[in-house]
Amino acid sequence: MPIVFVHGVNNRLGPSYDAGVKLKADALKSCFAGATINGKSFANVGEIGFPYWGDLAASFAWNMASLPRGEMQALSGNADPAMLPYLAMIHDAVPGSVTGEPILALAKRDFSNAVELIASLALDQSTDDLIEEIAEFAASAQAYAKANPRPAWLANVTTDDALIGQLGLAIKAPTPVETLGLGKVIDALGGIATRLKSAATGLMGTTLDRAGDFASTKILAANREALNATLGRFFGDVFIYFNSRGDAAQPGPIGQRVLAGIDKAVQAAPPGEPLVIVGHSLGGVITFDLLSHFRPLEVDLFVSVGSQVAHFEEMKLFKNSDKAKPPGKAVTPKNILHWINIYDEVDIFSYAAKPVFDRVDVDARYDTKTYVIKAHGAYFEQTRFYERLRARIDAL
Amino acid sequence: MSLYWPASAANVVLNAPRLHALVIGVGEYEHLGPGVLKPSNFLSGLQPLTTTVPAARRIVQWLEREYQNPACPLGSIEVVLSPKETMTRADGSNVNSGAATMAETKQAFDDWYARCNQDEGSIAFFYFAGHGISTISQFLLLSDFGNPDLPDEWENCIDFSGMKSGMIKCKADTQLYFIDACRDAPIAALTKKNPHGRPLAGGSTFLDTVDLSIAYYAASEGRAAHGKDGEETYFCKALITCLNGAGARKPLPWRVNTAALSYALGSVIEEMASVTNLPLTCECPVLKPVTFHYPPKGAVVVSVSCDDDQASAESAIRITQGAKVRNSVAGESRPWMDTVDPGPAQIDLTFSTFPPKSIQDELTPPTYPVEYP
Repeated sequence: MPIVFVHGVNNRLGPSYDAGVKLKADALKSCFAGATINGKSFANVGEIGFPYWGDLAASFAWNMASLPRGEMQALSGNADPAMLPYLAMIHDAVPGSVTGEPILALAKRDFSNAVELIASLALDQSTDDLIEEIAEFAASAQAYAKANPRPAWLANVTTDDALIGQLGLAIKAPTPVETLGLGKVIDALGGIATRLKSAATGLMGTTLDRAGDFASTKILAANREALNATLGRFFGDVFIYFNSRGDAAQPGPIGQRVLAGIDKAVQAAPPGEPLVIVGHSLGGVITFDLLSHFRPLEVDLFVSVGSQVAHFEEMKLFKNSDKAKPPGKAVTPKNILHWINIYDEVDIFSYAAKPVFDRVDVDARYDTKTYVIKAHGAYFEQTRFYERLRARIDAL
Repeated sequence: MSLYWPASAANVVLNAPRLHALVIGVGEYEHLGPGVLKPSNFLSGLQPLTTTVPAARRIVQWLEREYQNPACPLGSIEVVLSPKETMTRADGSNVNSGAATMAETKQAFDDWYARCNQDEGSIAFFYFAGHGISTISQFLLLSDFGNPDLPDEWENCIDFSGMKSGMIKCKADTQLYFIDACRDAPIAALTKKNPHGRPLAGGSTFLDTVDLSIAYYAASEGRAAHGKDGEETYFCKALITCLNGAGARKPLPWRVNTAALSYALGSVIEEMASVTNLPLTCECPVLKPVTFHYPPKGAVVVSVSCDDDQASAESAIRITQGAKVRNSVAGESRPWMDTVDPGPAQIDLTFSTFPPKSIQDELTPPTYPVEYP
């Protein structure tokens, strides 16, 4: 089954990356099972290609020492920076709730959204020994929330820890051997929930917040360090790719890596199956650049998600970009037979494609229900995203 | 009332050495588990257990029917279970167990303690199967643990480390504790301020007159205990196997002492881990050897494993001990484990495509692992 996923910026090997790949692989297999594209069907759902190029991307000689950290740290007090985007998400959804039992407050308002947040936290904080379990938890928990948008037990729960425990029990698959203990995933999630609460307490500990005012702007300010770092890595990866991309005769290292991944998937697939390439963020840009100039391979479906393809075309940055603005829209390469582009308005790195390109089948808005920083990485953590994507594919 | 044996407290012998047992099996938790009405504010993800009550029941039956010690016969058995149940004694009479709540467990403990405290030659036997956590102490969770309405949510929890320490003031010279529970340290418990439980015994002086106080744990520190759904826990199965001869030593008559039991439990659990492919562990210290049980005969746990899947599938196993022959034909579950008599034996492994292997040896408790090739 030639489905290739080209990752975007900020991807580096580690437990969180591995858990994300496992979740994406399982979800993409389900998403494309039985799908027909261009009259071609998938006979079998095989392995998904995940060409990894993060090791070729930007590195920072002084470990991003140039970021103006001092001010930001003062604003965020002792709060754990990794938890701040999640607190911001909760604050946006349920203002004023971050100081009590934040996840529970969100769950009482929107259980599915809370489960997505828990899944995202779990994936973000995955450890080497829990990669498979975390990925399975993230998928199972979201499937449960979809089937049970307001479970009866939620009314009896009074703490974040109890919420996670009850959720863990609700989705627990029967096993022939029982353990006289909590289980590693639920244990780890309990710890993460505690960190989230500690981060909220850390925010409260700052001079600005002692008044109890958790205005969005304040949380945004506290998040600026994380935002700066994300932006820094984004631009770093973009510069690295464009500076080293080579040309059709001699593609650069990132292009070579991605093309090799595509070739491998194509060769491994049975003949007659559609070729699908899913590009996230800069992965969409790289894919578009490769398909439009480096390797005009016929692709049955190109899915760009949270990507900047149109934005970069406006700047005429692709090898194949027509430097003179054409009278109408830019021409979508002929070898891209279908194109679905997905963006979230909250995701500041995502762009619409239809206003710039002449042939885009679907330009769809998807609400990750997350916060500015989290939105960009949230699409593929959410099982409902894959369901929406399948619906779009079936409607092609 | 949680006295299982004898039928009446008036019949408990108090003026001579006796083994007095307190057996606790917790399977259902009022505040832990899916969809409970008032879930605990923490550790709520702990699930109900199906293995712990069967384990407690099996220990009770063993004490009543198989325990043998002329110098210190069975004196009494207190039982609390969750859910509580009607149990049938060896003589066919029925008795209701106590409930494994803190209130009933405390009452059973007090009665047990009072009996153990009558005679220095007595043996105090304590067995707990249920959820446990290990942070600053080993905590044992009773069926009403984690009630969110209580001012102290740790109230219905036993501080076992404190209990064992407090029991040094009890007269019983030999004190055996079997903790069939997890010993991991959940983050949710670690991050709570001042995790604690009730030690049930305390006020001891500096003087320690107890000859032997030993705790056998179903898991090593930081690890989980396990059981096959609906059956007794693996630790319980190993314990019964050891008490019934795998933990026995010569000279005749066969006898189980506290040190040999430690070694045997470790060995049997190791074989069980190999056969089940589960991370089974135990922690059983080797302390002063005090003989406390005389099984009718010794026993040896024989296990056979092949390092090649094909050989494993083809293997036919035969153990010959005089006229006794035990066969396991090809296709049966592998790796193979069974309990046989001690003494000379011939073990034959045959295969359809691999060379056979024969061993003639003297089998002695506790275990005899055979590896192929």
